Amino acid sequence: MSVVHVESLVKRYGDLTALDHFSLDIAQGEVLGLLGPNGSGKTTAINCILQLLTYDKGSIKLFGESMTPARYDLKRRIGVVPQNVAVFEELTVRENIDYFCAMYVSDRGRRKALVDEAIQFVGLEDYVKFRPKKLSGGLQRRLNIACGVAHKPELIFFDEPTVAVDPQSRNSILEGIQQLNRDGSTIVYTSHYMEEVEEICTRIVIMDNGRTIANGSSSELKGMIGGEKKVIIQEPTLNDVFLELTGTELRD
Amino acid sequence: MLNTFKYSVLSLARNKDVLLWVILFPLVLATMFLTISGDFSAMNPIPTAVVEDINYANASEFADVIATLSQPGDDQILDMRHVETQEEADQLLLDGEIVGYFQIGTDANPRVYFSPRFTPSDFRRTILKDIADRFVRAQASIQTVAQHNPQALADPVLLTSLSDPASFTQQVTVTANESVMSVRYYFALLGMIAVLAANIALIGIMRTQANLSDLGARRAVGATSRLKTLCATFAACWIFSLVCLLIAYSYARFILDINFGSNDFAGILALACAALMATSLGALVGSIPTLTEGVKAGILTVIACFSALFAGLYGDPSMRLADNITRNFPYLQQLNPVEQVASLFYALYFYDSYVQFFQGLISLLIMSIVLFVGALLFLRRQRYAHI
Repeated sequence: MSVVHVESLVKRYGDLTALDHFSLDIAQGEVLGLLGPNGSGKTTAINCILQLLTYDKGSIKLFGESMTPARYDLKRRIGVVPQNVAVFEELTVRENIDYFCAMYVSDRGRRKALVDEAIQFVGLEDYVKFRPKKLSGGLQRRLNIACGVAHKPELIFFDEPTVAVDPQSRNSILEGIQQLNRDGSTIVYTSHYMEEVEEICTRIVIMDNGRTIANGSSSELKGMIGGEKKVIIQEPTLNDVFLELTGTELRD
Repeated sequence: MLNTFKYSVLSLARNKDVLLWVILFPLVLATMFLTISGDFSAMNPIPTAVVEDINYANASEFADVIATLSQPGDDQILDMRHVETQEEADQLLLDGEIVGYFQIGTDANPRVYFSPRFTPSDFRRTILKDIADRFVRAQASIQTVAQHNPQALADPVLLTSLSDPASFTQQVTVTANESVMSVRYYFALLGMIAVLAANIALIGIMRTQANLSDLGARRAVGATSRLKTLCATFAACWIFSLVCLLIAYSYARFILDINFGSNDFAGILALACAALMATSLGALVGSIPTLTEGVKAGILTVIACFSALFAGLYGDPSMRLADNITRNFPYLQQLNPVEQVASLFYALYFYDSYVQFFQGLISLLIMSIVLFVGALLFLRRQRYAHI
C-alpha cells in the first residue's frame, strides 16, 4: 500500500502552471528524495499534499484515504519539518516541543516522555530553557526538527532541513533522519544538495516545471545518462576537508 | 485546546511589543495625566501685586481680603507684593514677575490688571479676576442691605454670610459622582488602551494563519482542528487583553487614586466588553491577507491615535472636539472604539441609573460582533491559492 499517492495533480497560479499533472507514489519505509531546481514545484507539491494549498485537478491519498484539510486523523500520522524555522519565539525549547507534540498527543504523561525523547534525539538537553533567539542557526534547525517529529509520526516531510547549517549539524540531521527511517517512519525529503539526497534517500524523484522528469534509485538515475561506466578519480571535496579538520562532533 | 490557550497566553505575555505598548505605555501615560492635573491642585501662590495708594488706604475691607489670601500656609492663594505706585506695578508686569495687580479705583472698587504674557484662558488670571468680582458683589450686597434694612447690619452672622457667597449657596451634585472633569481623560485613556490591546489579537491571529506566517503554516498542518486553534487563540487574546486593561484600570484606580465611580464590578464588565472589541478588531486587522505585521500594527496605531483624538484624550481642544462631534454627529461617535469604551465609564460615573451603561455595552457588543464577522470572512479559509 502506498503511504502517499498523488495522481495527476495540477496547480496553477494564474497563467503559471506550478504542477502539471504531477503524480507520485511513496511506499511505506521509503526515504524519498524530491529534487529539483528553484521553482520546479517541490514545495508546492508538498503544500498541496498537506492541504495548505488548493489545487485545480488531481487527487491525493494518504495511507490509502483521501486527504482533505479536516482529516485530522490522517494529519495525526504525519510530521512536518518546514523549510523555515517555525516556532514561538517567546517559548522555551521544551515549551515549543511540548506545544507541537500536544497538537497530536493529548495524554500529558505520554507527551512528557515523547518531548524528553525528542530533546534527546536532537541533542538539545542543555538548552531546554533557552528561547529560540538565543540558539544558533544549527540549534534552531534541530529544534524545528524536534517539533516536527516528537509525536513519532509514520510519515515525515522534511523541506530542506539543512539550509544554512554547519557541516556538523548537517551530518547530525541526516543521521537523525536515517534513524527515524530505521524506526519505521517513511520520509519525504526535499533538498538542493545532491550529495545529501544520494546519501540518505532510497529513491529519488527529480522535478522540473511541475512535472516528474526522473524517478528511481540513485544508481538507476545515474544509468539514465549513459550506459558506460566512468572511472573518476576525485579529489576530496572541501566538505570532506572541513569535516576531517574540525571533526564530526556537534557544535552549538 | 487547553494547551493552545496556555501557550498562546504564555507567548503573548512574554512578547516585548505587547508588554511595552499595551502594559507599560498606558501606565506611563496615566502617570503623566496625574502629574499634569496634580500641578493644578498643588498650585503655587499666584505672584500678584497691590498698589498701596490713597484709595487702598481707605479700602480696609479689601486690604483684609488681600491679607487673608496672602497668609502663608497650605491655603495661600496669592504671593503678594506691595507697591506704592501704579508705575511700579506696571514695571513688575513688564518684567514678568507678577501675573497681575490690584488697584482700588476712585469708586472704591478693586480693578485688576494683567500681564499680556498670560492669556485670558490662563486659570491664574481667572482666579485674580474672580477675587475682585466677588469683592465687588459682596460690597454691593452690603450696600443694598444698608439701604433697606440697616438694623440687620448689626448681625455679625449676616455680615459674614454677605461677604462669603458659599454660606448661602448650597453645592448640589446632580451626577452620580462629584464632577471632576479630568476623569474623562482617564476614560478616554482606557479606550485607547483597549484599541492598543488589539495588537494582542493581531499577533495571536497572524500566528494561526498559514497564509500570514511560517508558524501559522506549521500549525495548520497539525492535527488540532482549525476551529479549536482559533477558539483557543481568540480566548487567550481576549483574556490577556482583559488582564492588560485591568492592570491599567487598577493602577489608575488604586495607585493614582482616580475615581471611576462606585461600582467596580460594572467597571470590570465594561473592561471585559472593551477587551472583546479589541480582540475582534485585532483579529480583523490581523487576518487581512498580504499586509505585513508591521503595516497592520501601524494601522492599529493610526486607529488608536485618531479615535483617541476624537474621544478627547489630547487635552481641552480635543475634548471640545469630542463633545462637538457627540452633539452634532452622535452616530459617527458610535463608530469610534475609544469613545465607545470611554462612554461606558462616563455613564457609570455621571449617571444614577445603569440605562446608559447597558446601552453602551450593547453598542460595544454589536461593534465586536461586526468586527468578528469581518475577521471570520478571512479566517474561515483552510486552504489558500497562495501562501
